[in-house]
Amino acid sequence: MILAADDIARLVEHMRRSGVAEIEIADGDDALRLALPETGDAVPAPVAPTVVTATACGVFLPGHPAREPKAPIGSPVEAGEVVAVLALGPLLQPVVAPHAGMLARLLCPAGQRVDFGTPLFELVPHPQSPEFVKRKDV
Amino acid sequence: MNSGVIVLAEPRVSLCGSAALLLDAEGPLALPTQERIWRLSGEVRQWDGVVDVQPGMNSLLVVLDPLDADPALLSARLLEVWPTIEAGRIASRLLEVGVVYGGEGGQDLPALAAYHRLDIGAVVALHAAPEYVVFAPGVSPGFGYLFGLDQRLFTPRHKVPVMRPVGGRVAIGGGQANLGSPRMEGGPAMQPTGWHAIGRAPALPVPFDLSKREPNLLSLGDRIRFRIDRIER
Amino acid sequence: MIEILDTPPLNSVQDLGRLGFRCHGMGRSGAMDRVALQAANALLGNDETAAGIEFQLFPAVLRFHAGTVFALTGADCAARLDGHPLPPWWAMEAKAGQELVLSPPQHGLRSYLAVQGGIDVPPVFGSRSTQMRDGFGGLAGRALCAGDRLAAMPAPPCATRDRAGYGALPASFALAAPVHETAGEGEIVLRVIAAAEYEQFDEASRASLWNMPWKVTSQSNRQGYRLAGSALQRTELLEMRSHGIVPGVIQVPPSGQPIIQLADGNSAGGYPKIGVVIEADLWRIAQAAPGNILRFVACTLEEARAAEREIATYLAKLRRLAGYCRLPIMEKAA
Repeated sequence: MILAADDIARLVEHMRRSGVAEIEIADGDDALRLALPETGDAVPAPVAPTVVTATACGVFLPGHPAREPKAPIGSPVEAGEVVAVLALGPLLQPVVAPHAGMLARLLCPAGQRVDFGTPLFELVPHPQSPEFVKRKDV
Repeated sequence: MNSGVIVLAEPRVSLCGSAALLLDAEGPLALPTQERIWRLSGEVRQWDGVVDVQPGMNSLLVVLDPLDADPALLSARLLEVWPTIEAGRIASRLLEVGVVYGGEGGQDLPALAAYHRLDIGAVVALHAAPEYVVFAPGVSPGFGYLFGLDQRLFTPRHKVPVMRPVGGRVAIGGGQANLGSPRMEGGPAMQPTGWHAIGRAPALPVPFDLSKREPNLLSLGDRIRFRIDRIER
Repeated sequence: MIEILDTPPLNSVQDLGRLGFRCHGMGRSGAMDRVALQAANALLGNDETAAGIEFQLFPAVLRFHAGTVFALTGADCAARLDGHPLPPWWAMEAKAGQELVLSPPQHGLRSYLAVQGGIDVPPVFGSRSTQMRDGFGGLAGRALCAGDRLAAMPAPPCATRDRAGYGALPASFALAAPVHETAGEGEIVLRVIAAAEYEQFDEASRASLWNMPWKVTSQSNRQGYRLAGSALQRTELLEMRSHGIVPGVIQVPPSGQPIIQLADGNSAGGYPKIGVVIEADLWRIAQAAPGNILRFVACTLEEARAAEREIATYLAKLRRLAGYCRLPIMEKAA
C-alpha cells in the first residue's frame, strides 16, 4: 500500500469531521493505524496543503548549499524553519515554513531563478499529534 | 669553531609570500650593516603600500598591503635604494644586567664549554666581555636579538628543541646571543627552545610594559652588558 | 550584552589583528579565518575592524542580554537559538534573554560570532585581538570563560527584513578552491610561493613539498600548524640569521617536518623557509583539523593577487546585498 502525504492528511481531516477517533487500513500484509487523541478543543488543522512561495527573488536552492539533504522532502519541519534559500549573488535569502508540517513536494526545480510569489513547496500540515504506526518491517 | 653561517656576496630581496618582502644584506653579520638597516626601515615605512617593517639580523622584512602593493616594483626599489643608505652611529643607552651563569637556569653551559674545548670560566668571560647591541625585535615583545657574541662561542642550535626554564634566560643560538624576558605571571615555567641556556638574569627589568606610553625599555641600537654575579657549577 | 554561559578554553575575542607594530615584536594575531570574520561583519554592515568571537572549541552557550542582530560564520556548528536551528553562515535577530548554543562542527574547525557594532573591549595597539601567549588584548588578554560578559559597541538599532534572518554563501562555495593534480577528496589544497631558502633544499625535498600529502598533527593551534610527512632536507646545513616572518611561512626545523607559522606565531625566526602559503589561503588552514591532509601547489604573484581580489569582491558584494536585508528602526524592539 502506498499512501501519499495528502492522502493521510485527508483521512485525518475526515476522521476529525466525522468524530472517528481511530481507524485502521489494511491491505494484505500492510496496515496503517491512525489514532487521534480525544481533545475537545483542538484547533482544526488547515484542510489543504499550503503552498510555500518565494518572498524575494533569487536562485532557488532547496535546503542549504552547505547542508544535507539538499531536498528536504519528506522530513518534518518546524514553524519558522528555513527550508530553502534564494541566492542573489553571495546573499542567501530565507524560504520559511509558515507552519509546522512536512514538505510534501517540490513545486519548482532546484537551481531555477524565481521571483516574488513563485510557488516553491507544498507543505502538508501535521495533523494534531496523530500516532502513525508503521506496519511490521519485512 | 665556526658553525657555518650563511653569508651573501650581494644583497638579495625575496618574496615572503604574496604580501611581504625580505631584504637580506650582503657580507658577514656586522654593526654598520645593521645601522643601514635601521635607517632603511625608517624610510621604507613611509612608502605607499607598506604596512609594516621589521629589522632582522642584517635583514629587513617589509610587510605589504596584499591588494594595493606591487611586490615586484617594491622589490626593485629596495635593491635600488639599499646601496645608497649610509651607516652611522645612533644615540644609544646601556643596560647592565647581572647574570647567574650555569646552575638550573644555565644547564647547557657545561656541554657548550665542552663543545668549544674551553673551561666554563673561559666561556663565561668571553660571553660577558662585549657590549651587546639590540639589533632587532625578537619572536615576541622583549629584549630582542642581540649582536656582539664572540665568534669563539658560536654554537649550532639544538636539532630537537629542549625544554628550558623561562625568565631572564641568557642564551646562545648559532651566531647570536639573547636575553629572555622575565617570566610572565601565570605563564609557563618552561618552554621549548633550540637555543643553549647558559645562565639566568634574576633581577631583570621588564622589557615591554603596555601601561607605559613608550612600552619598550630598550630601542634598537641600545646596548646590554652582562655582569658576572655568580657561576654555579 | 552577551553573557558566556558555558565555554571550553581557547575561545577569544578577535578582530583582523595588529598591523604596524612589528618593531615591538608584535605579530598580527587576529582571527585565524579572516574571511569568515569579515563575512560575518559584512552581513551585519559592521566596520571591517569590528571584533567578534572566535570559537575553536565547542560546545559553547551564550545568552543575549539585549536585542541585537548577530551573524555566525565559519565552521557549521549546528547553532540553535532558543532551540531553533539556524542555517550556517547566517544572520538573524536575537531578542533579550535568548540563548545561542554552538555544537562541535562536523566539518571545519573554527566559527565566528559577530554582533552589531562589534565587541567592545579596549583596543591594544589599535586592535581588539587577544594575544593569549603574551597575555594582552581582547578581554583581559585571555580566553573567554563562563560568566564573562561582553558589551557591544554602539550601533544604530536595526531589524531584519525577514524574521527568519538572511545569510551568505559560505566561502568554501563562493571562492574557487585551488587545484592540485593529485590531491584526494577532502584534502585541503593551499597555494604556496617559494621562499628565500627554497633552492637550498634538495631535489627530493622540493618534489615532496609539491607532491606529497602533509598531515596536520595534533600540535597545531593558533601559533602554528606542525605537519607530518616526508623529511625535508637542505643540501647544505647552514645556520640562518634570525629574521622577520609572517603568517603562512613554512619553516623547516632540523627534524625536517614543516611548521606553518600562523596568527599568534613568532614574528621572527631562524629556521629556513621553504615556502609561504599565500595570504588568501590562510583561512583554509584555519578550518583544517588534526588528521586532515594538506597539499601545496605552486602559485605566482599574479595568481595570489587574483585570489585576494576574489575575496575582496565576494565580501564587497555580500556587504552591499546584505544591506537590503536590514531595516533601521526608530526604537529598539523589545
